[in-house]
Amino acid sequence: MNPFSYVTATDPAEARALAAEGAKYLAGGTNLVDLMREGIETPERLVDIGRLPLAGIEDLPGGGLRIGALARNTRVAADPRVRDRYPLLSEAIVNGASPQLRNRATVGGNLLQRTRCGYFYDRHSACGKREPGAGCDALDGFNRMHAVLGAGESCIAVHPSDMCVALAALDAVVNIAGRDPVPLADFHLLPGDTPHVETVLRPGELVTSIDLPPVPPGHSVYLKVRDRASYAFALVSVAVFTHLEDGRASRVRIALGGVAPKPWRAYEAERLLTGTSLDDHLIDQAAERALADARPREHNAFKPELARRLIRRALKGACS
Amino acid sequence: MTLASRGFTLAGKAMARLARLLPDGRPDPLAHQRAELGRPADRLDGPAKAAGAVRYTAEHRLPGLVHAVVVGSTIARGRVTAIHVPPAPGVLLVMTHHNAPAMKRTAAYATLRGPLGAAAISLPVLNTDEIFWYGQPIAVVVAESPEQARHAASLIHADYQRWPAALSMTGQRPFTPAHAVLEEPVTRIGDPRTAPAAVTVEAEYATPLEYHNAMEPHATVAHWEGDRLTVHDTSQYPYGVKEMLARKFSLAEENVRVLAPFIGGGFGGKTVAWPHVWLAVAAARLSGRPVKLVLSRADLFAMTGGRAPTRSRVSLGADASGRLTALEHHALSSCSADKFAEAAVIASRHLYACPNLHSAQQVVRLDRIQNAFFRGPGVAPGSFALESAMDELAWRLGLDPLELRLRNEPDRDPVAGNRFTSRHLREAYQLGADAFGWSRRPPVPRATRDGRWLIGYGMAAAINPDAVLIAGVKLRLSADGTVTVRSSTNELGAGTSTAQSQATADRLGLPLDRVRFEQGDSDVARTRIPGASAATTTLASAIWSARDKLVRELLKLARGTGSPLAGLSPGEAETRDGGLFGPRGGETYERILARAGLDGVEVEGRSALPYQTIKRGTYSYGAHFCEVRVDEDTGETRVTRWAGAFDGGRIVNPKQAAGQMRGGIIMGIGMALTEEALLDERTGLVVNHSLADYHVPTHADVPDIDIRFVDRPDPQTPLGAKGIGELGIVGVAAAVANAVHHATGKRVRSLPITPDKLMF
Repeated sequence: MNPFSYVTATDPAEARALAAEGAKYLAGGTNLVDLMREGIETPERLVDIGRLPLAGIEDLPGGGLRIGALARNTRVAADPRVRDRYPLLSEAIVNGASPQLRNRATVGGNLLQRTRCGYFYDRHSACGKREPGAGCDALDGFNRMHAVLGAGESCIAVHPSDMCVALAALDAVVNIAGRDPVPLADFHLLPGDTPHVETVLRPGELVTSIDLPPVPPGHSVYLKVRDRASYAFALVSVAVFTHLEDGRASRVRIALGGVAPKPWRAYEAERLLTGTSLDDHLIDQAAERALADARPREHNAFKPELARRLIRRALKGACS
Repeated sequence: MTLASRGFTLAGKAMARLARLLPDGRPDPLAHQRAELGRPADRLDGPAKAAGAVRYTAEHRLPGLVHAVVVGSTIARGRVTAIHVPPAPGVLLVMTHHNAPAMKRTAAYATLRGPLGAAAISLPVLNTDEIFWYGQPIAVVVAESPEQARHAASLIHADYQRWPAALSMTGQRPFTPAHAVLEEPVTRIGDPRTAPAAVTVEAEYATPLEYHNAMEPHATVAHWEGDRLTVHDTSQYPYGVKEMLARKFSLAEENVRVLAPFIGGGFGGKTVAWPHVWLAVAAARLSGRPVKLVLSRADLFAMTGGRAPTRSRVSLGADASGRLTALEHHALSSCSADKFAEAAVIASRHLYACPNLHSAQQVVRLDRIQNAFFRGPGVAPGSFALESAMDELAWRLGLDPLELRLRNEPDRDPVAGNRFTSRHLREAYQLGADAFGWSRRPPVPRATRDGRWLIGYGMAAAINPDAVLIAGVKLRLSADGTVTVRSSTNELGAGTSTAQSQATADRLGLPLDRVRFEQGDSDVARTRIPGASAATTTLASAIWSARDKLVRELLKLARGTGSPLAGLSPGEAETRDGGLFGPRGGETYERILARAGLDGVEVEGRSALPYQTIKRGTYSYGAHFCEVRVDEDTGETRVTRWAGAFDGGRIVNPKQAAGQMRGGIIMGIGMALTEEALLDERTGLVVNHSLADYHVPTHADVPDIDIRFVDRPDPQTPLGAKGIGELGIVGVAAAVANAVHHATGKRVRSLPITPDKLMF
């Protein structure tokens, strides 16, 4: 951990003013402090935003919900409105981390959670996220946990969040102080040649809240497969939402976790199913379509098939 | 086989022949007593631990204490050509091979040169520019605060000359080590290759590199006062560390004191001193300040050793009735320059009757940190191979796996031909099977389903060698009739202090609240119990001898007085009811001391030579039965039910013993399903060096565990007890793998059994 200065902000404007070059916002600290201990994040200044009035959960006109960036994961998952209207989000959150971590972690921080790739976490390994252009030791190293979709030769790390997978399926929108809202599905970036640029957020910008648009009543399910029963990152997870009108699916959302550098929406699979009666044959096709572009590496060849099986299970569960 | 190993084998055979001339062990009169012994007493250290009042090594604060952090190499083999040390705040000292004091090389443990040495490694760490493994200490930073030390350490980097490093087990030439944790590396009886067999199975089984991951990280606090050295260390072996440090720093042994009363889990990883221990001492000498050095979780994966990976080829042959006619077990594991090797073949030598048996342990030498003892060394990974193969044989024969084992239960040790001092494995099978409901097991795989879950039952046997090692104790009887026993062993969390307090109470005929057990001070007596599940019986033996000495001392005091004890011979005296009694009556301890006008009497006790383990085989046994559920689509496995029954001789404290067995089973579930250290063979880095990524079981992974004990005393061991510390983990991984096969029809021969191995 490098020496750093610590300041506390009392309102968003002050926070942004304090967040000069080389500064990081500190909220729950569950990821940032861990990374600082490992010498991966080396901010010169921490701007503690824990006292900003951004922890509320409010109803939006029209039936949506606004979740403050500083709302703790535990609180969001337990909120009656979330559990009633967006059970998918609640399920995804409690499938992540441990109760202790969820008590500290914030919604805004979870959006910005960084990958658990072991080579990213080791300062002496080659990692383009830590050092642009350095290459990627995971390509030919241990890559069982790594991406099969949306990755490239610069980086094959996955985004580790469970919460974001549900948010992607719920068409959530990220509110950023002083700029237009960004749909969650566009908030995270694929690595391309710049794996160190992980989101659309520019230095010093502050996420203030996440909006959940109203959703029609429907079926939703979050499935997560991991190496142990609790406190493990997803091998693959899937969030599915379906709304049927007169036996036809008027809205289908499929998002995948553990397979890509960002929460991954399977748009083509969604399109294939929209307007159909979600029969088994079409579900199988959609599952194939969702993973059609998968490019596994040495140790993660099981992921596309696991993802297909989870998509099928989630969709069949959703229409039963 | 090397010359040394041939010599060791010959010596071993000569010893075995001589051992027949030895007397048997002495039956312990306490073995059948039921007062404190056998009572499920609450842990005496429990309240203090629950209140946070117990002080662990890293919690020691001394005036002027400063903090050290170790910098590890980032190559596996080569030399350091330059070390760059940028300035950083708070730094008092950067110790490298340029300025480290000369430290004598000391033999590594469990090698022929130093069978019970405390140093993990004989390499001259920080007295050379040569690099032998990834993570080898190349610098130690001492600073005013831990944060400053860690920051300064993060800035230090080195230039290296890289040499090719051997990091993969494949591609290295296997050889037969001189010995394998004090067993012969090779045994051969008859000829398994030509033995007739109606049914055979042959398969290869693999277990990965694993790490102990005790909750408490390794830590050392070193403090010099002139030439006197005091060290608080997270050591399972304080006396060994004292000896080793005296030698390394050329000190008289009486000038070195090592304190380790409480350890936050060891599992074998703290049986030895890793280099950071002596580097902390060197840094304290060089900086002139008391130094605290605590390894980080990531450091533990680079600067302490784990369990070596194993590859086992097991071939079994049986006649049509299921009697084994041939058993071969060829095991390969890795070692370092010090050639420490565990015997993965132990179970195959002692578990089943078989007239043709060939077992051989080989190793490949890698440029890695030394492997460590690890709960059930050799026998835990080796039993995965043997007990999986036995299950495969049962299927091939169409026999219940339990029945197959019963048909091959030996009445003599299959290798040595001796009778066992005690063996109640049949009873353990029965107890466990009844507790679990094994008779309800469907005979075919894939027979039971609950929605998406396939349900299967599995079982496996457990065995662990019993060892009585060397211990001394000091026992003081005070004028108020209380007794304090002091020992150089420590409380790992297994309950040693409570069990020994119970044993002392019964040995002297005192209530438990008049006994105090103090521990963890190297200076009490020469004590060599780094592990080996040996604390209970070895300490009991030493306390027994102390009791005999105390009786003699007390009789001396009574001589020539009006006491009914006057003129009594030690053999006639009984220790009971708070005092000493003979045929003419007795007196309380208080009265004997009061008459003599003494504050107290102190005696030393030493453990007896373990004749019984030299002469015959003494082993603990067990039987595991479990239920698993496997999601057919995703390959997720959950263990949902467990029953384990054990023959650990007389059980001293059933509550603690059950806890110990549960802990072993939980660790075994980790071994079966989740634990694997990912060693990047390109560099030597263990990639998943955190508890988020190296998966030990969480509460959600652990089912209800039903523990039963046969609880029959061994006629030749102290207290009638046999070591059970490591027994619980043995066989667990095989029981899970066998249950997974019963559930799914799929046989996984490579641990851990992760979802991807069951998906296809």
